[in-house]
Amino acid sequence: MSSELIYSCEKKGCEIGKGGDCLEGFAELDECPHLVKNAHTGDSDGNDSRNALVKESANAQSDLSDKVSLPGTDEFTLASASEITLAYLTRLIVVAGEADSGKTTLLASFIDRFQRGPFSGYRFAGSSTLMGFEQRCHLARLRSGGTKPDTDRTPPSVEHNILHLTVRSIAFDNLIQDLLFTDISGENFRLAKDFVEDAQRLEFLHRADRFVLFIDGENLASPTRREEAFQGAVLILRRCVETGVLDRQSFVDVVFNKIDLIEASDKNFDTSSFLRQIEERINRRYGASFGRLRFFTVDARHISNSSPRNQVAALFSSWVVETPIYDLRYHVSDEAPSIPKREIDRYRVRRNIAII
Amino acid sequence: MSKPSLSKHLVVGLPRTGKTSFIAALGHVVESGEVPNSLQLVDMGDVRDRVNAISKEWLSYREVDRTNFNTETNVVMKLSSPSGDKVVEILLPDMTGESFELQWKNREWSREYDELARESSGMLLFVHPDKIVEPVSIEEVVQIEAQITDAGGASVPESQAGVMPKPTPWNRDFAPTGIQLVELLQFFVNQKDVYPLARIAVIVSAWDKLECLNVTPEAWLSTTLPLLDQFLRASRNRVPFRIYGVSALGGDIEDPVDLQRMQKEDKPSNRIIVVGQDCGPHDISAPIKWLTDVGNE
Repeated sequence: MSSELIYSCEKKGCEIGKGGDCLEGFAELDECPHLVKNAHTGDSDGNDSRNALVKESANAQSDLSDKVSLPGTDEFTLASASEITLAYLTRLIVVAGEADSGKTTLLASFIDRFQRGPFSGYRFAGSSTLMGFEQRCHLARLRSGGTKPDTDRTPPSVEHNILHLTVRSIAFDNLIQDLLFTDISGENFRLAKDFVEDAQRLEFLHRADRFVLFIDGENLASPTRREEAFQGAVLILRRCVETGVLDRQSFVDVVFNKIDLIEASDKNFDTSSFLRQIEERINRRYGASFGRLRFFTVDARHISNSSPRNQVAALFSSWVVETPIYDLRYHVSDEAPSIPKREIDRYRVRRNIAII
Repeated sequence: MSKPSLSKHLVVGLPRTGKTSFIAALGHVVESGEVPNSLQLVDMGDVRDRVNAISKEWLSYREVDRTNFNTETNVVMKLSSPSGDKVVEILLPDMTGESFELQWKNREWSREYDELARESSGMLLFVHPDKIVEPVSIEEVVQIEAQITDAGGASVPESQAGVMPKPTPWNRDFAPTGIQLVELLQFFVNQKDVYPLARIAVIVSAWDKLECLNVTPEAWLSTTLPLLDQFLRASRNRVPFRIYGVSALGGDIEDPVDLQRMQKEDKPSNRIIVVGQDCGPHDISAPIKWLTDVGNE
């Protein structure tokens, strides 16, 4: 009988199992908390007789049979998030946009904000993916050793990462709301923009309470890149409409991120005026395609930015309380498909979507 | 006297947050009867030697020994209410902070601890003001640097200005204290059908160090650990909580002046500081009275 250890990693995008480097940068693999050792045993002529999966955590005690697993995860997938959606009325917020537009930065900023106190009229009431949020905050923290705040780029993945947050209203004590946020790589949306099949893979958008399209303000601030940034965002909307994953039941928020850079470029390039133009253009083309279309400006990176144009709090609050499922004002057309009135109705989905 | 009812309470806290010192001082108070209206010891069973040993250290103004990893003990005490008409048997597992670190890092605990958690109705949650890791952002530091520069202070040296060090990879040890404690509490609060936790008493240890701030324990917690404070408030319908400021040692035993002040007290228990709802100034049993719903008559 022969025995060898084969390494793999819990972290999506880590190539250690294929002989690549540790994504977390550990030279000594045993130090990496995400490392999984597959104890691969086989008999002498090479026929594997057994596979035993042994998760070795740095400090874990040896006999796992004496252990009881506890709930929580670093991040959910669409399938595993049903743990939340089946238990609670949940808002699903799909955050879309091209790479580096600030999607993950905004999500990470929520937990940073709650670590400073109540935010946007809500108290933090829990999260099943607390460590996932923390991990995404790391490069903006002093502890990372960096000198400039940053956010790890979300690697492209077939599975969509989902973060969970529960909040409780301060003004309306009975209002407790679970929120799920997709943290999807910009690459997935780039593919969706270019290929109809990839756009159709975003079918879970039917279940979304909000589709949030991020547009990178840094690109909008540049006269040479602004039109490309705008067209790229519009193409994502167009693909989603053409493939039917967004429709007249969808609530869509278009978010111009990095408002600090937009404001800084106003003097030379009148970027704010360009923003108003593209709002009009998007409204003209897609205003009638969705249940609701709104525009926000935010500075996801700088929590201390108190400019009235940093509308993170208003955006967050609207995600908590507003959903097409209950807000019938936005479904006035006789031609619109029947509106799901209860959470369970969301399972009677169009196109047989077998997800949350 | 009523038949004793067994009341189990978990003692939860990260490393060096004052859990063992609390049990040492509690052991002395309930046995000595020095503190009016405190719970009184009826019986301590087979852990008397261990509790006496740590209480002796406490009485001798020594730092109570940090629990060794291999000597975790379930402290069982049979206590009567101040009026003597009710008896409760409490079980306080004296576990090391490292054990709790393993819980939130690995999201697992021992089967033995799980059984205890399934039978526990209360929790003493310890936080220590000197052991708080806050989430400090680069943005905050940059702002402070800018303020110092604006005020005419020293600017960042040129040699450092252009350097972009490689960031350290994230690991769970970097999680701020608030995150760690909320992770621990969520295991209970989100599984009420499994773990019947009914009350949480938050013990802010080393309260003597915070008295000069002239704040209540509630105000201190909401300022210092806002995430934990919000979580407790948001969950209070499911698990009510109270916050106590407690100094089991009573002061800084390394400081000769403080030590002399404590040694002048008539009774050893008088050095104990307890601040909170429905409790006397030295009654370290007050949080347990509230957890067990005894003795507040």
